[in-house]
Amino acid sequence: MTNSPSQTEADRAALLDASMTALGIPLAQEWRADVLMHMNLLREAALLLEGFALDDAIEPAPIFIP
Amino acid sequence: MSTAKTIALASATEIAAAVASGAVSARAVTDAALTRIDAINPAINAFTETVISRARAMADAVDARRRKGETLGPLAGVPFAVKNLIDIAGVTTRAGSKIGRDNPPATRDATLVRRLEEAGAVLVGALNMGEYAYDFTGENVHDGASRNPHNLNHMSGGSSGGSGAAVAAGLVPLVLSTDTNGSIRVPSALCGVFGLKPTFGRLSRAGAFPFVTSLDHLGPMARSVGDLGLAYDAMQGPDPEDPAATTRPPQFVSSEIEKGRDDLRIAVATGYFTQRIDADAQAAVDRVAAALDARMTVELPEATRARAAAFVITAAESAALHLDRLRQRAADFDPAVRSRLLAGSTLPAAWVIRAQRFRRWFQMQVERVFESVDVLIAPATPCRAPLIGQTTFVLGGQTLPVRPNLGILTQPLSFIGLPIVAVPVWLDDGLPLGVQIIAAAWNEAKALRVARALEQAGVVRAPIAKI
Repeated sequence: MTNSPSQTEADRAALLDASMTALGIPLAQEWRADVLMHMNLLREAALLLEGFALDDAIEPAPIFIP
Repeated sequence: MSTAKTIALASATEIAAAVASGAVSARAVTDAALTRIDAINPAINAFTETVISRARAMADAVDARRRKGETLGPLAGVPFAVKNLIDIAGVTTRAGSKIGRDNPPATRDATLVRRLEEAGAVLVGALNMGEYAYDFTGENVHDGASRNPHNLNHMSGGSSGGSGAAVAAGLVPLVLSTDTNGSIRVPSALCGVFGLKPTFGRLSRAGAFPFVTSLDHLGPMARSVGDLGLAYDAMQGPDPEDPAATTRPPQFVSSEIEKGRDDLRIAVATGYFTQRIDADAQAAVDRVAAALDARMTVELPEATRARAAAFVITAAESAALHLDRLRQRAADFDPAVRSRLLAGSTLPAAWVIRAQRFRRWFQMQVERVFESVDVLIAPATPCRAPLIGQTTFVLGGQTLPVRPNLGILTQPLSFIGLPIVAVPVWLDDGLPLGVQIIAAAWNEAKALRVARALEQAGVVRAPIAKI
């Protein structure tokens, strides 16, 4: 058990398969490598965000009103 | 400037004045534009549709109003076109996709199309774009790439590639486009035209096919700052059909643009915005900074994370938007778009919400930056237009994929909805570069004033391509 996010290539492959099944999206074998590559880019981006402490009071801004 | 053929190459401001004075008819300008589209579009692939009957009817209506002595709108007789994700009544909104072509035609115009026509502008057609706007290159597997009019072997930029190409080639003086992560500013930079991405919420998005509703903006592209202002003013106003549209009163800019930049505090963005750019992009910023005597520098805190957050939100929201299409017609997507949508479908909610929380934090930090400066300067793209089909480039010693990284400099800024004018810089006889003129939210006028000062000084310009 770990306390920080960790993904191996096998983890991402499992996440991809589970997500496609859960959402009912057909996935062709020849698409997998590109999708896994993009999943890794997203993981890197998300870890950058995870590495930055945010105060609990900071609310999400899905509809942003400047 | 005396003939319709030559005036079709003029600015929107000049065309409207000539039509209002009777020096030329709106119909003649429209026909000249349609003739030019016929002649040049096959080389640049900017237009996917023309609406000839509608355009001529609108032009005739403008001319009829003038004959009756009625006051004409500020865009009287100005031909314009829209990115093909913006609804045109009677035309199928394809949003750059194969799948969208099976939809019925739109039953009415998008809000901003209506507003431009109410100002007298004449819609002539719809423009090529990257599929579902998930693109910075201007390439499209279904319609073919829109080509850079200044060098047909190079990218026009995306996702509004047809928009940038149409303006740069002199097919129309004005286009209406969208910018989620840079889709107005990147093609403006690569094609050497002016673009305005207004404050998030300022211009209605109703009738535009969404991409990432947290981040989507509409805005104009043109060959002069004055034309941007004219179009922007014509399009402002509340719209209950867009949940994000502001209820603030319009702030018209056309009367502000000529006020100069002497009272504005201008700084150059450093840090993130100086990394992963090539020497040309840096030279373009240096030239603009020197012309403005901008000696201050500012580093936006955590811009790398801002870009990362925009990247995550984009993947998650676009994947959710296209879920049914992924289920039913995944094979019909552009493979480069499909891969990212499928990857976005796997994102844990906690990461997406964290990105939205980071957005709040970043916006608060940048607001503080704007307490001590009025306008920031930053490069719009890391380099000049890559070759069509080019998949990697070297930036800061790293080999990086072109498609996502063309937008690394625009993405952190639209992320928090700041108004930005992209201005075209020509360092030599080669392809242009773009510089972003960035203001605090709701301060479009300040960014446009700086852009206009640069234009007047001859530092930025948007010549029609020799094609």
